[in-house]
Amino acid sequence: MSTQPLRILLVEDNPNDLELTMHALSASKLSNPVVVARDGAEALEQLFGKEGQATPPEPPQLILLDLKLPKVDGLEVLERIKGDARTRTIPVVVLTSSSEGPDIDRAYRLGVNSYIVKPVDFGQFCNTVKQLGMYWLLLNQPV
Amino acid sequence: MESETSGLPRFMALARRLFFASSTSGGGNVEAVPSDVARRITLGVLVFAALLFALLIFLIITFAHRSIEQELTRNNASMVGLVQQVVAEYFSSFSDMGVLVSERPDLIDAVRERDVERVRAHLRALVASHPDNSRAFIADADGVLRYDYPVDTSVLGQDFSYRDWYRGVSEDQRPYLSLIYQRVALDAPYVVALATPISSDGDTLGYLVYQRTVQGLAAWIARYRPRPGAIRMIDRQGTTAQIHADAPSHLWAEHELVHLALAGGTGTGHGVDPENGEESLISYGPVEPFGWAVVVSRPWIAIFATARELGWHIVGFALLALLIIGVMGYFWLRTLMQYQRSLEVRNEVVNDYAEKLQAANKELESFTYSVSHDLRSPLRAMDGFSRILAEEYRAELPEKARRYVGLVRENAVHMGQLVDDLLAFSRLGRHSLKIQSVDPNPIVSAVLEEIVTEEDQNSEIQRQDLEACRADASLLRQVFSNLISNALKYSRKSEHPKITIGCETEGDEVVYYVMDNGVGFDMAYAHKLFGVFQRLHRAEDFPGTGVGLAIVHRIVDRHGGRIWAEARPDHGATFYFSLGASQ
Repeated sequence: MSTQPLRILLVEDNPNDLELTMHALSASKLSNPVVVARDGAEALEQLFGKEGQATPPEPPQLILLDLKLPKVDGLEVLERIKGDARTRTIPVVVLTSSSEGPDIDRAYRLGVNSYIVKPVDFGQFCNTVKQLGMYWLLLNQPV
Repeated sequence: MESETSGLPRFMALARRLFFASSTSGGGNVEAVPSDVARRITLGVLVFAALLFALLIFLIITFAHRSIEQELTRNNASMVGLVQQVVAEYFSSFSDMGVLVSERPDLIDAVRERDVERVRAHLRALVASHPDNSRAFIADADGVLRYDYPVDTSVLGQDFSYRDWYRGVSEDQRPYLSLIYQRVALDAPYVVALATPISSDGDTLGYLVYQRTVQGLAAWIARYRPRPGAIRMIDRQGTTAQIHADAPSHLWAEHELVHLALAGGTGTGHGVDPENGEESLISYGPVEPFGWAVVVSRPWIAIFATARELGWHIVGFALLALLIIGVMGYFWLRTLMQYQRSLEVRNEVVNDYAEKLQAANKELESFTYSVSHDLRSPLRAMDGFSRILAEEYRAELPEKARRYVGLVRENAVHMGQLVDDLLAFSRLGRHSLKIQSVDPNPIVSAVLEEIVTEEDQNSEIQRQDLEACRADASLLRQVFSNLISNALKYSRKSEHPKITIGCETEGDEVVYYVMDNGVGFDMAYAHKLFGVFQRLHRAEDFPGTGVGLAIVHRIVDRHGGRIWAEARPDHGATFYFSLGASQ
């Protein structure tokens, strides 16, 4: 186990949601470093490195993943994460605006660790982010 | 298609291949090979049907021919029987008249006294007695002509003992019908004579002979002849009585059937008519007791022509019948075929619609997904940033600005609620019903537990025992939840809020109701109650999005039930609903 603070990978394309999530994270006093990916391709790059790159970057300890993403869709990113031995054990929390569609079912089939619908109410949203940070970063015992 | 495996549709499919093998080959459903086989089968069936038909026709014709032949034979035989009788009668009266005259005492006296005039008067009377009579004379016992009428002096005193009639009558002294012979007197026509003895006290004074011409005889019998055909009178030696011939005909003399008839036989047979050489149906019989014969001869081809004609009529009728049956069968099959095809087309249309509907549903699904995702994001941003503004820049904001920021937040949250309700409503359409027998009582208990809050402490809630029904349990719960929460909401401002949950049974139907004593509404707007986003009260009085009753309506609708309400302003409202038949 590294002694470094646990890193979070936040995959979010919407700048407003990104800012609000960052705000909520800081408001909940989670000082863990956050790496941001603005689309699915960037998220994959963060996890597996650019093509041709010799050493992949240090993997994060928690991934907050939006589903509706440009380029590479969130579910595809999830599939890659859970299909790769190096990243399979990283907890992935889907953080999405929608509870619609077949997404929930598929996400769980692909091995998501948690599926959370972002509430419209910012107070509730802050609470949610705080709770999930607490849970996955403090309470939960990773591999 | 599942129905393709059952009997009739499969037959129809085969029949369609038979009938439309060429026309549907372009349709893609019917491959070339089966249609080729089908064509061969069709051909085989047609050939078989044709052979069967030919055999049938042959049998009909054969049967018809045989029965017609039998009928003709019977007919001919009865005709000859009739002719036998008529000719016998004729000869009898011919004979009787001669006997009658020969026995007249006056004539006997006159002959004995050789009174020429008196004898001649008797002869004249005899000749006049019958139109066919042509001449009468009296010969003495040795055959010498002594008296005659009409008078022909050339033959007076001539010896006629060589004549057949003389031999016949002198042999046994009885009336005798002669053969056909040519007389000497008066133009010498061919005649038949009746000779009868004139006797007095056992002595033969002479012989009364009177004659009828063969022509007259033939003309008389010709009146009875069949057409086509002929009647022939033939004397003992085979001479035929002819109307027009100058000489008597001996054509029948050698005929086998005539021999049989002259020997006393009666019958019918096929043979060649010696007069015209035609194959004929010949009936024959004797004329007793005169020893003559009669023949009825009818040309076979001519009389059978009618039969053949009949046969062709039968064939024609059969063909016509076959044609009619064929045409009717064809149209019947074609109608069936068209019906089947129209069903298929309709199925295709229905399937097409189903596909389109499915596609539309999918589209709607992705649409609602986008709506929920894309509408909620900006709302969250509005709420989030205005909240940050209100909290982190509180000190820098004037009171009024804080209020405005609060309003922005409130509206964003309300709109989020609207979006969620709308999604819930649209989701209902895709929710597949799990219909089962449901006891509503525990459902209502659970709903009350969930929605009754401290605000409702004053509310009196009355519950009746609710009858079971067939419904989707989760949707039924939604219905009760929406109706009860409405009832609580709208009665909350009453002095003694009271809610009643009960049911009535109307025949098969269980009708549930939720009654409150709240603000009620004007029945004039009742039709707007169940519309989406339709509200009968102001939002500041009673918060809500106006989707709840629309959801209830949709659920009831999907169960095939009905929902309605009764209300009066300030006197509460009652919502009734049923979910169709109870069991």
